[in-house]
Amino acid sequence: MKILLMGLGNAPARHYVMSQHPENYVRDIPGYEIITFGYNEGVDIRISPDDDFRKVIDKLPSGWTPDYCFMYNLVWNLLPKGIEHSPFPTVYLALDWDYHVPLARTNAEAVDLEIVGGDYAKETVIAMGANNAEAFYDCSMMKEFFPARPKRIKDREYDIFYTTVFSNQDYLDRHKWVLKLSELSKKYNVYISESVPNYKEYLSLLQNSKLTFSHNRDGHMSFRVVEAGSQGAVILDTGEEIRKYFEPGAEFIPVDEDNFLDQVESYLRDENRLQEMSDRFYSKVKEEFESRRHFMKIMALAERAIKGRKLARKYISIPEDEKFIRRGETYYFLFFRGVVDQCFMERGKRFLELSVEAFNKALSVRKTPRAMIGLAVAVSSYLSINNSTPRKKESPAIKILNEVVSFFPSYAVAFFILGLTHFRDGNKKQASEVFAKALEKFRDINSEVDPWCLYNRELENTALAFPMGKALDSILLMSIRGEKDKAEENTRKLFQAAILYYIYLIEEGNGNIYGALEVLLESHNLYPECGLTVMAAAMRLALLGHKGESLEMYVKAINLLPLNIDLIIEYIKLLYCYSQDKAALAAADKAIKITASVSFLREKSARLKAAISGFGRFNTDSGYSHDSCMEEVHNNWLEMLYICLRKDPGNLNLVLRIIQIYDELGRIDKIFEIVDEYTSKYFNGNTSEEHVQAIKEVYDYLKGVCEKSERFYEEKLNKLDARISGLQKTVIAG
Amino acid sequence: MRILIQAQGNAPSRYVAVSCDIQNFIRNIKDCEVLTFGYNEGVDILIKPEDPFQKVVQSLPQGWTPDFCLLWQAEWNLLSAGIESAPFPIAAYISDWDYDIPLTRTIVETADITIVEGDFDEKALLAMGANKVLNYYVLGVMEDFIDPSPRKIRDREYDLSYTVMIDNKWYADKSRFILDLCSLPDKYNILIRKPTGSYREYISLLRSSKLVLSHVRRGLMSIRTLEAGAQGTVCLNTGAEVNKHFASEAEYIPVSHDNFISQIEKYLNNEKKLQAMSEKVRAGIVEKYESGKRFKELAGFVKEKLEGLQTQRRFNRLTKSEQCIRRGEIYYYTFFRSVASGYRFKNMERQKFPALAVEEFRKAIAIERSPRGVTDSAVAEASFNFLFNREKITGSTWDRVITMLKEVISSHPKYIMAFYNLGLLYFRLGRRNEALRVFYDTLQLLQDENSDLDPWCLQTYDLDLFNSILQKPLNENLLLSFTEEERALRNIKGLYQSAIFYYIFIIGREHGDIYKALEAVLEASALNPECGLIARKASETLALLGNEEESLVMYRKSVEIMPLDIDLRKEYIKTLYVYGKDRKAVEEIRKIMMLIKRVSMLSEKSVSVNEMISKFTRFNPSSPYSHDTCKEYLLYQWLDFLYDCLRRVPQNSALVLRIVDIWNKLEREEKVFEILEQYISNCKMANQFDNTALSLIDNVYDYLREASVMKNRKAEERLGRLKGLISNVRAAAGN
Repeated sequence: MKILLMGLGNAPARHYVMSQHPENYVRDIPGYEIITFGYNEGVDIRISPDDDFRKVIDKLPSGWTPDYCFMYNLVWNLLPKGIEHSPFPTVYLALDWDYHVPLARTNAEAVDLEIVGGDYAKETVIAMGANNAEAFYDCSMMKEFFPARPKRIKDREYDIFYTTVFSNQDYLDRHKWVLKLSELSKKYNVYISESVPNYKEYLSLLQNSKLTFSHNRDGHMSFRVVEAGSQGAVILDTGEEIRKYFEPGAEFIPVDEDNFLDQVESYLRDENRLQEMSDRFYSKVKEEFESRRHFMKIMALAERAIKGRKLARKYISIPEDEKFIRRGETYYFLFFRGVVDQCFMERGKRFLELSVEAFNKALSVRKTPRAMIGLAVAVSSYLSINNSTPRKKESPAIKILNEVVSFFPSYAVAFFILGLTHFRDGNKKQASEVFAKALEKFRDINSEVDPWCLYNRELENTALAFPMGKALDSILLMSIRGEKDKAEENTRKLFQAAILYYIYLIEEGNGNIYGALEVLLESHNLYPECGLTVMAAAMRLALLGHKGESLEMYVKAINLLPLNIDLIIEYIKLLYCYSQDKAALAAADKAIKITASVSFLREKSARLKAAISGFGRFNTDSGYSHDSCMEEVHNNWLEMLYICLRKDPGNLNLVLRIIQIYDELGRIDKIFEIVDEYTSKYFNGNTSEEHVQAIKEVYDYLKGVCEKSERFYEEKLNKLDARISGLQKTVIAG
Repeated sequence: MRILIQAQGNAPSRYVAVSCDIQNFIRNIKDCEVLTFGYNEGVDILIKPEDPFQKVVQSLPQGWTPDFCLLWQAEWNLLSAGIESAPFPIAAYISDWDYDIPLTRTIVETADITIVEGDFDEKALLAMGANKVLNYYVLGVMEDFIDPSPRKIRDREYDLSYTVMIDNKWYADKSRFILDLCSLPDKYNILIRKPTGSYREYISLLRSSKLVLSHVRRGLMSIRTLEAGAQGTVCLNTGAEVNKHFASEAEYIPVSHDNFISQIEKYLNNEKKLQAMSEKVRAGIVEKYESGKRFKELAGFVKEKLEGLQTQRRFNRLTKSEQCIRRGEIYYYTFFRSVASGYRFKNMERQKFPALAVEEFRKAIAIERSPRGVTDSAVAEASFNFLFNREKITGSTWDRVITMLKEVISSHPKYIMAFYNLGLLYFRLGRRNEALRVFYDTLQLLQDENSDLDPWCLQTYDLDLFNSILQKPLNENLLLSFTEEERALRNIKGLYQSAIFYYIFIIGREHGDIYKALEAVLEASALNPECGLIARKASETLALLGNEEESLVMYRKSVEIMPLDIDLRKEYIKTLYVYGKDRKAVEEIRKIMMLIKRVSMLSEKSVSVNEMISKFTRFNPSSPYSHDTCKEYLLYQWLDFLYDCLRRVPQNSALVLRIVDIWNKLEREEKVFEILEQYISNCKMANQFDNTALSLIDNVYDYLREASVMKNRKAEERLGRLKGLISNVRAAAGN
């Protein structure tokens, strides 16, 4: 069989999970002639990202026609331009296809057969427009990595091992499992790690673990299953798909949230049983999941699925301008997936340039809002990546977006992107105005909301950007699977939440912290799953003295982000400041357990300990009662409030809140100071009676405090005087 | 000609500095038959780190005997075990050899001929014991990267570009040139950035630049001179070696700190001349410095030099035990240098190299239980455990290492490195009191003229602290030891003393004995004045304890050592501000702003710098509020730390006074009352009253009495004023 294989060449990613890249093993499969092509050095036929697939065909040896063109995981590689016209069948093996649904749709429509990891994925990609799809477990292990005899279970160092990416907010479903595993860490040797240095060390860790945990968001069977099996580690799996391949209780351990702890305990108690499972699991994986044999199975599947079928690729029939838009999107998303971190493709500005070019071509065919927005987004990303965002003159993206809102006033997304672009360019005033309009648009049910429209992907991983990617992808999938109304409703809510979040940032930047909090809470209500807004709201509620609400909001935030130790520390400190000592200690204890068992969080344990050691009430042994935590929390609040007050100096609410904090710190001088400063400028005949009354109350309070403090000082001084005299006598007497 | 080349296969490094990697240009060289071997896929003969060189020899095609074996950039690769017995000549090309002198010493003693690129290197390596040295400029530019039609100088975007890593330890000299560049007038378009991106992007940047700066330590000519020249870009060169290859002022521009700005301005103002230089230098490179041509010429030279050469490889003359120690060193240092990052060794099981090092040291002491062998073995084993068994910091693993070091101390009581390493080990294991005891013993021994300081003892590269304060100066002095042994040993003694004082400083801080810690860090700084970390910690501690002038002097010194450390500069500026040195603070703010504007990799700091400035209330007079965020923040930070110390040493009167001083600055008399009362109670409980304590209490009491009177008076006045104001406002509103 002749296969034209799209590959990664010498890209670093090829060597990370070696068995998952057919280029690493297909050369010596008997009966297969393989020619590779791709965009990096190290492939047989190298093309540029803007080359047409025709160029690959032209470079094939004369008379050599492949049976298939096989592409592995296009979400991390670039769909060749013009592949929809391939004279031979095209097969795409899709992993992680749901990360960027627009990209997934294009890939699905362009190839003849898409192979996905399970039934759920198969149904979805067919609904999405795949020409043909099959479900097939796509992971294997090269024979080179199977140990001749895996280590005996009793000799393995770790009881349970779990490695996966946790830190990204896209993988929050994994956090609850990490929590469960960390609960076991007192009794068992649990190793939870976000990364391992390389493939060999990863396999060696598997070989050193009795159990390995595996979880996939869609219930599919993850790579970990076969990888663990190849090293004789028994799998704890949360999904359903695994049952198609392995026998529960004999070859793997099925777990769910309810039976997790019992299952782990029961199996770890019986090492003989585990050993049997390990042997059986290892043999089966070796027999059925060796990479070369597995590759041949995939090809056989392709043959069965494609043979005799007429090739009718949906992508061919989409309008010309839409094709250019798709191309623009593909370059754009790929730039952020594979190019920026240099893992899959050589770093370069080229992809964004090509994206701009494609959107321009789309516009030359037809002027649509989606093409115009795509162009604006690509241009603005290009400028931002190249650090050349114009500071003074109007950016080209703004110009395009102004045109969109004027030509297509009911196209709501355009207002959002325009506001966002102003915001990024530092034009907060314009941003605020446009965001207000955008909000109106999304609230108006007659406006057009287009969830497929390109958005600024480069913002996704920046600290203050509202995370939209995953939510948008879920909406698109919902829409594809037929829930159109619900999808539209969610789209409106999501964009409103994002807009309100940016308005909150602007308002807070202007010093209007009370208004900002209101807007932030509104954003949270529209999209309660957003960790960023919940965290910000919890902190601001505390800042402005809303004790109960802030604690409630912190609990919500921690439920959403249970591994965010900084957030937990904030919460514990707040509990302490509110004198909820029992709750503070319980939360601290839980956090200590997490940091002790999750390797990448271990570095946080020092911060956690430092925070606890600052709790003055808990550390009275030394005889000094200075309370670092109280002082720190209150001083941090003061710092933030003063920043706002300098921007909005006449805001009496802010002044009163600051006074409240000074009172808690016992700083009467500072209360006098701020009252003096406020009244000297903002207290005159025009002041409302309400404000005058507020100041009068402060005066009454100060008067009382001063009287008390005069007595306090007098008493203290007298006491001290007496003590000192006594001491002097003692010292003189020796 | 047949050449066997040790190379790095498909390691990531191959695709970064493309023209430097031999595998990228040797395949098509006429009359040269080449086979490669190494530890990464992508070489012809793949071996494992533990394999003897004999395995390579056996894997050669039948009848294929190389004229010589070339170890390309040997200092970045692993010197194969047993290569000293190779049946054919060994040539080693090394350039960055001065980072790890122990490694270099073994390479040059093993190779029949060492190839270097400058006079300094030639002399130094001969002194080090190299069997033979060939001084020849090896590198070139690959044809693919020579611009066939360079852009005219006048059409280039940047007047000058400089890609450089900011590294205060190894490249402090480069930081000075960056500062020079920042002082160029604004009219020039200067780009200073990190060397990121692909090689093609780098080349494309060179093509867009009129001038580029090239500076290498030891006065060498860097490959950048060639890479730039190949694009018709003129190089500003700081070294002397370039003069051997190109004509000064005609093909390159010589610069030093003294003439830096004037030279740049002179040439940038004369584009015609620059254009002529651009053409000339490019032509020279095309003619003589294409990589393949260069290599062929090198191969010819090496062959010629090797003809009839009967070297006795020095490595073979070492005792068996010493040979094992050297191999242990090779695995150990190569791990930290080339393996740990994965940049030059791809997919290598990380434990392997350190484990092989431990094995070699064990072999060495099985042959002879020398103090160095045992100490090295203990250091290597400890490193392994710290790297890979971090969680198990108790138990028999450590007992064994401690016993080994104690054994040396008992059998060789003058062998300093056993004491030092034992102290360090206790320190790292958190056994601080034992560490202190051993450190003081070590300090005493270091004063003893009859003690035995072994500078070649294995260095603890797994400890970042060691790498920050000792790695570079220690290597410099190891190099010096080949020519001026006595001086070098004196310096090394000073360095170890400094390190010990620094560890004592850390322990002192942890124990709350901050005044003793200060003494220790000042000692450390005096003994190792070039160390930025120590100077910075000394500055911080001086400021914390209220030594205003001394802290500012020390901050200035730290900034001189680490001029591009923006966080350090920020700390310095904040301290200036809190001490009321506003003019100086403004001057420093100007400098920091210039740096973040000009140096692209520092621009990300602009947000934090602006944030800092916004907190300087005195500099923002337009606001009606005088609350001084910066001052409050810094003083509270100090208080936190000082209270932490006080809890550990509750009767320390100096600490109490310092805290009172800060509370006073914050006008918080109630806190002064609080601490005074608590201090009295503590002293009473401990029965530790003396005249010092009494005098402190007396003084604070007097202050409090006065402050209370003032405070009450002030409060009364303020209340009166406020009351009047409220009445007036109400009256005005009523009218």
